[in-house]
Amino acid sequence: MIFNSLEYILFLPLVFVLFYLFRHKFRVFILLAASYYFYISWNPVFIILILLSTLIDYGAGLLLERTISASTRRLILGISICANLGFLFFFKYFNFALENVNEVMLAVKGSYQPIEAWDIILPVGISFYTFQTISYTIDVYNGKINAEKNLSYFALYVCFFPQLVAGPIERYNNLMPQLKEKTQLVIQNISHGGRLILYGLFMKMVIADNLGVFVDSVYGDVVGTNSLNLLIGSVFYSFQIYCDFHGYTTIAIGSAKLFNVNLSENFRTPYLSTSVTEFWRNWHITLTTWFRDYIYYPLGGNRGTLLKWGLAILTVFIVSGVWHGAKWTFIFWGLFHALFVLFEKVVKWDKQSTNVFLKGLKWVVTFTLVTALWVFFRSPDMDAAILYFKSIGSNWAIEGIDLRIEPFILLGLFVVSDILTRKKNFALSLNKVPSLARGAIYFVLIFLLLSRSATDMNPFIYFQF
Amino acid sequence: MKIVKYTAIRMILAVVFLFTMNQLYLNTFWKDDINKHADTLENLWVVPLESDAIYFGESSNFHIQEGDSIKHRISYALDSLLPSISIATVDNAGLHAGTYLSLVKNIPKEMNLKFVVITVNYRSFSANWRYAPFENYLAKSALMLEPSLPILNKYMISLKQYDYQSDEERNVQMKLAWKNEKFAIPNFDYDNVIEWDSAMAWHTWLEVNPNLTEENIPLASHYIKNFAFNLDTVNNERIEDLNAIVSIANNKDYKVIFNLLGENFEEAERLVGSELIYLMEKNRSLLVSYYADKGVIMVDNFYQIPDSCFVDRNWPTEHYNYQGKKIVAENIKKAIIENELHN
Repeated sequence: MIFNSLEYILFLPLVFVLFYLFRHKFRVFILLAASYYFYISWNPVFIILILLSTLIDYGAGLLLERTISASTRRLILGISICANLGFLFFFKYFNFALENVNEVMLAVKGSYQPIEAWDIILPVGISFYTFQTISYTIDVYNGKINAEKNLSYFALYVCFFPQLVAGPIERYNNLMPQLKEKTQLVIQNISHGGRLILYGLFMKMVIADNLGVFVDSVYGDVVGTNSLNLLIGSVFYSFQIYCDFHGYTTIAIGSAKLFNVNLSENFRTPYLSTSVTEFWRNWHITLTTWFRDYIYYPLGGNRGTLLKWGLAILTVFIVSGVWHGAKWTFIFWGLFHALFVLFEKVVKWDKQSTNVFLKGLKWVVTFTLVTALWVFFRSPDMDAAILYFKSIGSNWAIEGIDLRIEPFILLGLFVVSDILTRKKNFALSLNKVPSLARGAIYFVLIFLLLSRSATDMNPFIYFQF
Repeated sequence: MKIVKYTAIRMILAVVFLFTMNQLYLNTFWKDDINKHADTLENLWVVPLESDAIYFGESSNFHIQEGDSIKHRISYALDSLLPSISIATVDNAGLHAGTYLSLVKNIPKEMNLKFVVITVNYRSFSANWRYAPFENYLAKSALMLEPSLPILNKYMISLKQYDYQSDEERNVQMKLAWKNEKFAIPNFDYDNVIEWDSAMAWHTWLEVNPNLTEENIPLASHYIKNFAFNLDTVNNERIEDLNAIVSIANNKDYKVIFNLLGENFEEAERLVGSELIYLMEKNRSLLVSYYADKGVIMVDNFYQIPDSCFVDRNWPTEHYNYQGKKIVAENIKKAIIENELHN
């Protein structure tokens, strides 16, 4: 079941009604059952992984709280992290590792018989819930939070369906108090949640999926595509991935709001950033802050020497690349981002300036860099990414330019709405709009959603991570 | 109470919004979407309202043989043969009863039809066609043509609320059907398509059948995959579609003619053998009697088209030269005249 499906359109109101029909003490079970059902609808087998992960971290939390010995605590933490990362490694990176071992062995020994790749299916959402549970155990270990005693609530923290498969990656101290809070049915929550769901669906189905049609056609025939279309394709992909993921997150936040749960914001108009560093403060915020808190700070953050700081940045961004997928393209994508962040630090790029022209120039440079790096992200392998860049320079003939107007209009509409909602999210921004204008906005969005949603529905891009 | 009022106001607004949006959609994007996802409907739009009959067909209706001096459609030939009845044509490549059903649902209410002629392709009942990748497009078209608000149909397509399956999934289903469907042909070693086809593919039949060569084995294999099946009148999707067409026609009070296309039984027997003809005949007679019992006018061209009329020689199709098309048209004409005489 995905958010942009009829099943979810029926599932969500049903869970909503059941949730408010029952008394508070039963609601955790309603949400838990709904969440497991939501996940089982993908692949029933992988629910075992979530249950295992839940039990391991629940147990680790309790043990950590009861254990005084530092070495035993470290051992418990180590076991918990290794178990979680072990699952992640096996399902996500095993074949990638095998492939690279094969290549190295072949280079060393020509007669080496390569080991065949295993037929492993990646469980949806594994990277997200694994990071969420790891953060819990580390926080208990560091004494930032108390261990959760109630297994049902802890299980719900791990698998709360709105954010289970692609985040936002929530911290225990943000999500758990809200899950436990006794809630009443509040009309504002319905309207707030409904608005976000509508806007999220618009971003995903109208913008991202329509841009995706163009992007797929461009990436499907890089050599035969006109240079201008390749450039447009790369810009479109920047917005496709943004609207796809932002759309997903917005639906997740809207869905959770119906249950009076405020999930964390994941995006703050990242494409308005005037530096790559700023981009990362506004893009996939819950992942970035996770890396900041659990990798960057433990490695020293910006407190040590420039070299130490540089190594921390490199580590964080390469891990970020690896987190996205078991491919060299992701690793290079992360590496290049790290290099740009380091460069900006060295040249003090991020220094505030009131000069509008300079700000504009910085924005152009930043957007161009981020867009160019998405080519690595989108390409199936490094050769394809390099070919894409080479092809941009090789086919500037006028013939073969595909300039369908509709994606540009839709994109323009989105950009305007994104800028207008940069300070407050879409739902909150609408509060100040007169009711007639609000009705007109609903009309336009629903009309576009019903009539202009792409027909070749694509799964959310971030589900593959 | 507050929540009831809140919900009621929004429900009323939603209904008003929906109908307004639907009108807006009909006047803006709908025609483009029909062109993209269900272009056959455009043929129905141009059908004159005063027509007496509509001929629903697939490529057999319009495919021509290179060198044919007359390039008319079957439906056009039929129209010429029956000057007292005006026959309109709605056709497109690859259609089957599922799409005809959607089209029949969309016949304008103002039309005062006497007949609808539905092309029935024997192969369309086979697993090879039922699980073909093209089914996605046909299922999408069918949803687009549903008699509901067009804007909702469009959104349901975006939500993939039609029988969408990946090519791999359809391939798996096809192979399962080939494996699980048992033929029980008397004194015959092979009990399903997989066994039969494998025996052929492994060339064991080259020694048995003098008509087979290395070159025409693939064609023989296509004949097995397309023609060898047990027609299941309970579960076959195409039967369900045809039944629904009969039901609509009965309600709207026009006659249905099922035009069962001719197959190249000569080539089938030459390349594969009499066992295949045995199965084909079993299915044909079941189909004809099943629909005759339902009051459908059955035009049985099954054995009527000689091998020389078939255009394609590397795939079993129902593409005929003009002589073959004329035979079909003549047979439909006879059926219509007989029916008129009876009434």
